[in-house]
Amino acid sequence: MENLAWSSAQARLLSAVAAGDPPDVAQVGDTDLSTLVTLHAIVPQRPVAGDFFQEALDVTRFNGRYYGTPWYVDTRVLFYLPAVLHRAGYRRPARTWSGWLKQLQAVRRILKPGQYPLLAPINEYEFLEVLALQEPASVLRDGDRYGNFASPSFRAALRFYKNLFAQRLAPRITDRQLINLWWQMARGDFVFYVSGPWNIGEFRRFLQPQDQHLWMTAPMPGPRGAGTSLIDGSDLVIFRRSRRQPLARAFVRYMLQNRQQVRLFALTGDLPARRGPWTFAPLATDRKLNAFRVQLGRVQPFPKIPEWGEIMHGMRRMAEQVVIGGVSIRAATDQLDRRVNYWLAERRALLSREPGKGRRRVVGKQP
Amino acid sequence: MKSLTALFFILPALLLIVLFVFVPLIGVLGLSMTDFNIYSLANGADLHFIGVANFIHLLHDRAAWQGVETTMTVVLVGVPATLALSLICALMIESISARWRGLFRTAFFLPVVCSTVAVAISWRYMLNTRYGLVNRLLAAAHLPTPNWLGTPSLALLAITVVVVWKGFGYGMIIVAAARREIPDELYDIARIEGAGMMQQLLRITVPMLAPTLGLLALLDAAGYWQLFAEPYVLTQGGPMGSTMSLLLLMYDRGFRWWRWGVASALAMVLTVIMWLFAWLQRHTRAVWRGD
Amino acid sequence: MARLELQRVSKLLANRQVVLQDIDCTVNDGELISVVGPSGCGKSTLLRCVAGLDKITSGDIRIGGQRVNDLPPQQRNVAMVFQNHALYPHMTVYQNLAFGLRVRRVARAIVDARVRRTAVRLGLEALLGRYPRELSGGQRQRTALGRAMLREPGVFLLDEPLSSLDIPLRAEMRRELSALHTALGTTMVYVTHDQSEALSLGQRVVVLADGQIQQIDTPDGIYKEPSNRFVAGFVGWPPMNFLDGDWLENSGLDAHCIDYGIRPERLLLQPSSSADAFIAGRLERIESFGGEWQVEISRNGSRVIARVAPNPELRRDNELRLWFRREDLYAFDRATGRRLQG
Repeated sequence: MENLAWSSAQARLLSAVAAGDPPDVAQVGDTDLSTLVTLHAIVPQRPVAGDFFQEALDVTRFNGRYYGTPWYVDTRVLFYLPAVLHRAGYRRPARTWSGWLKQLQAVRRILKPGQYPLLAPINEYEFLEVLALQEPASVLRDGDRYGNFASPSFRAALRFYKNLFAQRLAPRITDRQLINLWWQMARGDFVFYVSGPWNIGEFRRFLQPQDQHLWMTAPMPGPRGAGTSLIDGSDLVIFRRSRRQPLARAFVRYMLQNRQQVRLFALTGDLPARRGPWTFAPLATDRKLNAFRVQLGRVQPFPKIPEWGEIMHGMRRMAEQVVIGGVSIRAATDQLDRRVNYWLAERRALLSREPGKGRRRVVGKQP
Repeated sequence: MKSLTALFFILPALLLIVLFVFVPLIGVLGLSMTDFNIYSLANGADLHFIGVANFIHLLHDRAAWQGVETTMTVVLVGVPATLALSLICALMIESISARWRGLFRTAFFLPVVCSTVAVAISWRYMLNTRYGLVNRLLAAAHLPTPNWLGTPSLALLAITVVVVWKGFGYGMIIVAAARREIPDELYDIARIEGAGMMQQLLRITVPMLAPTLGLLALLDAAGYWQLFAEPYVLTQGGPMGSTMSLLLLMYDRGFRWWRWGVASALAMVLTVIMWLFAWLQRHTRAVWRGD
Repeated sequence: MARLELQRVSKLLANRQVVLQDIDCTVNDGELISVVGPSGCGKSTLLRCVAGLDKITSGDIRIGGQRVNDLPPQQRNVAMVFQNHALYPHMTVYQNLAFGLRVRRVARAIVDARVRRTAVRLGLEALLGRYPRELSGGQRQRTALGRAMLREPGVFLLDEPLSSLDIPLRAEMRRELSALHTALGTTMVYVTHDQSEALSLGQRVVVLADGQIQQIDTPDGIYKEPSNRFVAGFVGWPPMNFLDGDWLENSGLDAHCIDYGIRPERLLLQPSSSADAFIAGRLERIESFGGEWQVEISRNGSRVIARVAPNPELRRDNELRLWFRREDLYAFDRATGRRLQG
């Protein structure tokens, strides 16, 4: 087994694949799974259990076959400071965007200068991605061949996002400008933050035991009711080149046992991808995990294409233009669609290629 | 026989250079004329020779031009600032008593030997909007406390400041050494003729140091063109791409999005620019030396 | 045109080390005086103190009657020429010459006229566009002189200006300098470590050692009437021979508490009169200088050099007698080194 830093894991793994020397089994992110499928580097597996979160299993499905076994899942919920929310006059976070917006405005009135109701780092795209997932219309269309950011639903999400900054409910900063997120939140610098399960462990690590009551989690609000969130996570894949396929499959089965899944949570704070382990302590008893369990019932997977990372990066930069550059939502989304269409040109060409025929060269100008 | 011996000694270095410089360079040149991307990795048939299309693409790429503008700004602002600071500090440490000289020299040179990443991380904390030292001092002086790394123009300024702060110590040591080479008699004559401090600086010190300053300007400019670690750590190229240097852009295109064709084209452009600096340095050396 | 007076000038370093002690000296208006001494004797410091580049600790300096102790260099009415020329390498000859005038913001036309006049006078007119590195040693020195002349000072201070030149050029430049002094008629202080240069150039010579003046006199006076054993040994080449008791055992002279000295050219191979005395020793070495020989005899490990006419009969390792007139002997107090008269 080799430990890889998450940030460079994809590059290392792809290099190993390119060199024809991959491992037997690897844990890969959902985002990278499609890349490995595209590369024909991994083999399909049969699901090892029947109680996976459906969306997590769906993420691993390509052409009707499952190419990975979901190992842990990850979604985004609200982290917040209950005491501050109470002082602002609310019992719990709102379930709708409009309600939440009122709460944020109310919270802002009782904060000190320099403090903000919401932390939404402008270089993190997940929050905007979650906002975009609320509507059924995807940000890509025609089988993920074209960008669909100019759709009314995404524009509505972006308007909501922009408004948070325009009303000074969130600071225009990047996560690089944080000193220590958990310490800063405990001081009341930010009252809400949208983040994933790893932060449960981080809050417990960075804050003193007597300060643990300061924070809580809640499911995401939506435009009209309870909100959907993204689902991401990690899957165990078996490489085509592996010469120990049966052993690899046995290993994957072992890693998915309830006992192992609970241990994984205990060790890393990663949430099990099967419902089974959630009936055991501490997963069943931890109040702060409740929001995740609820949220995992309302998630929306993102398109399974290798360009997704680049598209989300482009979306983030477009959002920056809107939030700090003063570019109009209409112009920004139109331009993003043009750029996404350029990035997806290769994919369109591949999909439209007929067997035995050469492919048209794709060289375009980037808008 | 003699040349054979010479060859024997040169060969290892030559082999290494060929292996690790020329072979990769030719590889990159080759890649820059293809559409190598994530799909090409999956299927070799998806790799095509596309000539200079990547370079033409770069000509129309707004991000690339913004990268040029960003990098140029750092060079055009950073190099004169570095030279001025190097010169001022060199003259300062040469004029103070020997007891304090070592202390100041060490203090000014320290950033040069520090790891760039460590330096950048420290600056990230110093520039923090709410808790950073910079804004605390500004607040204490009742001045506005800007969002340094979150505002496009200020972020680039902050990056430039960090780059200059990191680099001026090196120039200072060189300038100080060059200053010591100027005979005292040149200043004695100037004093007898009645030249004041400012006249001595402008008529003697600066012209006498011009060759050194010229060389440093080229070295600094070449170094700043390869700006990478500071924006990578401080801003990751943002906000709004305002600190996306050419090298960082290349890294993003290649290592993050696997568009190796375009990234290689960008690498070639950077290589040519570096060659230009090397050529300039060779051909102006005579001028700087005053031969 | 100015008279330079130094009155009890002393200079101590921060660590109380004495560099100059009680220097008393007057240089008359238009006089060329040489200051000579071994390296480290304080002669360059003396010059820098006069120029105002170094501060003196006590005493007074007057130039043209005005006390200049507290004046900055540019107000002291002096010009200085350094051993290494101190030309600005990034300036042409013209710019170097014009430097002082430009610093003082003299009008361009006047600067041009004066620079050209001086250049013609020093034979530099063809070199005005050149940089110092394109000049010969002599041309550089002339440029440095020209720069000093353009200052039109009351006193010229020259700090070993010829010592960086090679020997034939040095003699030529010495003549030029002498002629220049005659033509300009300006007071000049000429510092050198070379006693022959000091004697040939200076109207008077100051001998300096250990920060103190040993003697001030005309070149002849310094040579003929050295005031102490140091001056006697420092001036003249080869240096004066000092004879200890062994040498004089058959001369009937009292060598108790007294050192005797005799110049090499006053030792003869033959007696000139019956009153002459002699010293004797083994002939160690003969060195021919064409028109004259230098012979060296030794006795009990101590040596004596004589300048004599060539004589083919001299053989090495033979016993040789060297004759001298008793009045050519110099006598010095052994304890103080002071010259004893009569």
